[in-house]
Amino acid sequence: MRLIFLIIILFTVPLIGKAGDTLFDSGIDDIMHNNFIKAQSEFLEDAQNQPSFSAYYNLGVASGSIEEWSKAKWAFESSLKYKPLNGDAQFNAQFVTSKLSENNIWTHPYPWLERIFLGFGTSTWTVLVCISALFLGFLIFNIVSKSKNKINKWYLRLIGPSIILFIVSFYGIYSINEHYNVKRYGIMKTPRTLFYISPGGVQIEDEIDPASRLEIVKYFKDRTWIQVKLEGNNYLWIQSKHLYTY
Amino acid sequence: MVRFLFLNIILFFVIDFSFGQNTFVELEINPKTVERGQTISLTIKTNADGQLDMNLPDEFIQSGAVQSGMSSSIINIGGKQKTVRFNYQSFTGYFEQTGTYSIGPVTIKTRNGEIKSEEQSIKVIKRQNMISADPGRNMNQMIFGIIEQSKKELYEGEPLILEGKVYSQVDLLQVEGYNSFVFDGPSDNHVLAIANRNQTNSSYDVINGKNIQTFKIGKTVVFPEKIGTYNIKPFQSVLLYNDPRTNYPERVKIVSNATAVIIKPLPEGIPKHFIGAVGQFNVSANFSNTTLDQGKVVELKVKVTGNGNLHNIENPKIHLPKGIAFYGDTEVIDSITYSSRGSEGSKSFTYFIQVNRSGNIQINPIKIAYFNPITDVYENAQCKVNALFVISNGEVIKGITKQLEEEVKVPTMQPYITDKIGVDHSSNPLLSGWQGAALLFSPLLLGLFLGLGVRIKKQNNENSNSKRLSTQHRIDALENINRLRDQSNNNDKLGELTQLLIHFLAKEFKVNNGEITREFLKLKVSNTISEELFEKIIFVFNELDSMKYGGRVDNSDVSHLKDEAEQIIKSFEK
Repeated sequence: MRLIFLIIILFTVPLIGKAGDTLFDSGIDDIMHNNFIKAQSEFLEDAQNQPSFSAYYNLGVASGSIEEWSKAKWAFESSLKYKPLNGDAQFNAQFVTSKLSENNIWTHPYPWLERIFLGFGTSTWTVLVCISALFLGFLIFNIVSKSKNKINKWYLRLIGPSIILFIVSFYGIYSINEHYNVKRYGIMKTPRTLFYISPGGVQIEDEIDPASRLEIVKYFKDRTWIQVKLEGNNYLWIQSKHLYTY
Repeated sequence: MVRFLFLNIILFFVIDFSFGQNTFVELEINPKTVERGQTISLTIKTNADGQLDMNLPDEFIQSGAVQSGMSSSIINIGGKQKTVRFNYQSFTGYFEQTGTYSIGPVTIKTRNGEIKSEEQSIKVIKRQNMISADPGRNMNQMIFGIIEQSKKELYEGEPLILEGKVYSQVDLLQVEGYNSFVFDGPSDNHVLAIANRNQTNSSYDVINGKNIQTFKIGKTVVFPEKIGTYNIKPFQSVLLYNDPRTNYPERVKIVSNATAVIIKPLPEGIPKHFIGAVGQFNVSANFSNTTLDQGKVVELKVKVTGNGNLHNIENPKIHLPKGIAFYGDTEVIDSITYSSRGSEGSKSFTYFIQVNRSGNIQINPIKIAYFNPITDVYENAQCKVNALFVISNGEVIKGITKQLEEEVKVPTMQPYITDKIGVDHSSNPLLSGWQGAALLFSPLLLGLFLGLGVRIKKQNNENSNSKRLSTQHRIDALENINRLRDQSNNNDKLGELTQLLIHFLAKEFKVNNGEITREFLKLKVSNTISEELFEKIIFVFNELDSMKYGGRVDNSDVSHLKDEAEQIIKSFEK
């Protein structure tokens, strides 16, 4: 019985992994043969099934090749979510932004502190937070359980750095979770996207730079409307179907 | 069935003919791309004696006899010229079916062992359709020549095949002279390799119902270099024929017709990756090394194969990603032969690329575009190149080349990547939300609560110890009082009783014995002891003092004082 179970595991696990890779490889083949529209749909599906830097990056390349600049910008900036320090993705995001608007100077969507935290990776912060929490627990136990004159002086000396390490690594975990699980920005799907002062209310007539990165503030009505913050702290509403979010 | 041609030759030449030379055998085939029925020449060169075997395909049709002889050639070895003598055998033949055939190797079994030549391959293509003027209009001439051409109109860069054809109504004996036709414009001409320039194959055509002897001569591939209309000047030939009137051989000089050709420009819409190629082409590419250190130079070999104007194509344009740059000039190696399809074979371009950044680098697929005159459209060919894995050396090397500057002028996106990297492994529910925070804070809380528990336990132990000690001194005091009953001397009893009581009270109030005074006890009234107990203690102390210092020690009974003292001690237990 155990052998049968083992065989099933051995055969199914690689196949599950292979399914995603097949989609990705198929996208590569299509992009090689200049079939960018098909490649686009395959990379998009792959990114939805298993989000990855490569899937979003290649989606950006495929979209850019057929001059769908908004989608390409969204894809490149989405890829930066998974590898924020990647130079090629930054270059391409900058390139497609210049295609959307010559006046728009591209900036990295994620602040440098967040990039540093992301750069260390989830595993590093998880290990650090676990080690610092256990050590801090040990120190607290020793300090609390002993009378003042019997406390080892090293416990008191180490508690400060341990608390700092714990707080930093805890914030690292928190910020990485926020980074991956919260959609913070949006890119207009077309330059003709309409903006409103309130959901379904008065439409504004100002032209918004199509290369703008819109900061998502909140959602409304089953997420069909999104309030976004524009440059100059203007808060406007947009229908979510007209926005690429990441 | 493979037909083996056995050529057993016994060589009766000079005895020490090959003395001092390494034995060799070579197979030469000329040309290597032929049309169906076109004669090819095979030559075997060797300086070895022995039995000679050779593998020939069944489709090969031998024409003419085997010629043999001795020859020598001068080769350059280490800067010194050396004469190599050899025997040769030569024979001709042709193929009637298209395809690629392998010929050889030639094997010679000598006394010292067996030597082999390399195997050669030959490509047989279908016959080129030629256009010419109607020979029927020249039937008033005894012998006449007509220029045949592959096309009347062709695109710039497309090869033009020209050939002279001689028609004769009398028996031709020999071709004594030949002056080729001339393309009257800028062109690159290549006479197609023929088996034997002095040998022509004649055949008979039926023209106007009459059998006419014909032969072809001077087949040439011409690559016109400019667009326009150009004349092709006639060819001339001196022929020996058998005059039917005199039955003697006679000479005649013939001048063929002239013709013209129109060279058209290539259609509009030249693709981005066009390399000036006209014909049918393919491309392949590979790196000399896919794993290298940062800053090193790697060779990218791009091979363009096909037929058309292969010898005139330009370098394929390669756009490199950021961080890698061309290093030096591109090296070009040709392997080209000329046939009725133009120039064919391969052209290899070796690009030297300096890699200035580390990691996996994937360059764009190599693309070429060419014009296909058969389909009349521009077509593309491309190939994928393996990714480079560059090992970092921690340095940033700036390699600026001319090509890199061009890259900056025409910015494009960085190419796609083939490796799946940066897969999202972040969604660990254990570490998200309040549950995650609780999990991460749990060691701290555990330490705090365990520490507090241990501390409380210690305090309880201390309290119980102190309580035990306080009850102990009461028990001790009562025991000591009981021991006093055994003593007979009242003076000692009173002294000890006084000391016992003072000692007990000092322990009870946790002070020194000397601090137990009436005033001290007065201060403890209402807080620690009752008024009644205070008076009782004072009474006992007064009685003890009066007995000790009032002269009643010996006559008095002190047992009631012991009882009082016992009651005082017991009253502290409540």
